[in-house]
Amino acid sequence: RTETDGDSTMSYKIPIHADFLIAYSTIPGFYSWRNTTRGSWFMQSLCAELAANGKRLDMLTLLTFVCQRVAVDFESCTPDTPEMHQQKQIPCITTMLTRILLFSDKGKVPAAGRN
Amino acid sequence: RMNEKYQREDERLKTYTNWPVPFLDCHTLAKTGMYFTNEDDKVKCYFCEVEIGRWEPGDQPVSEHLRWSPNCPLLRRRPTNNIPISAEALDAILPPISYDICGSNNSVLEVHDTA
Repeated sequence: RTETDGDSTMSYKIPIHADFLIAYSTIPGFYSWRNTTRGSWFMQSLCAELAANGKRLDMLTLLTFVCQRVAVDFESCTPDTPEMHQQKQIPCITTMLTRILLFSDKGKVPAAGRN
Repeated sequence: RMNEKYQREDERLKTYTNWPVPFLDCHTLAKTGMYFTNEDDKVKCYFCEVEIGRWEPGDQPVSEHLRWSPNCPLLRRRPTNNIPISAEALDAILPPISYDICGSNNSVLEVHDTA
């Protein structure tokens, strides 16, 4: 893909796979846990983090803290099934982003990065 | 180690003589495993050992307890040595039973779920 920025002599290209962000609840080959009344560990953590810091932090920082919540705050509780009891989980963030992603309010100047 | 007498709800209730948080019902706290540490507004659960303080208006004892200790055996309705003042009153206040499930133990839900 080629984008033109004002002066037609100043064009640059972007890979077609750039700017994708895939946030998996767990790493490949591993189980993803869900509580039957409170929802999955990943979605509980994602919603809590977005509610707490969604407008303040950039997307990758938010997802780092989502990972922290899932990794630290959760442990499976299945005493009836000992082999599944007290298991842990870590999400998996695959990022192809090329910029800082912020859900900032209109008119607010985002924190400076490479522009 | 915690004092063993705190397995008794009536003993837990006795710790709240100098309870400094008027908007939080100490009966509910004691019922759900919490005794007052007499340190600021910090309470501690005899069953999962979580400590919670800095209460704010609107905080709910049970949901806050579950938030910081999602696997508390008392709240998850696991067998404990709790001696309640009224088993019926406790049953009415505890969250519904929940299960942690992932791909391999989905059958747990089919066996127990009465939706």
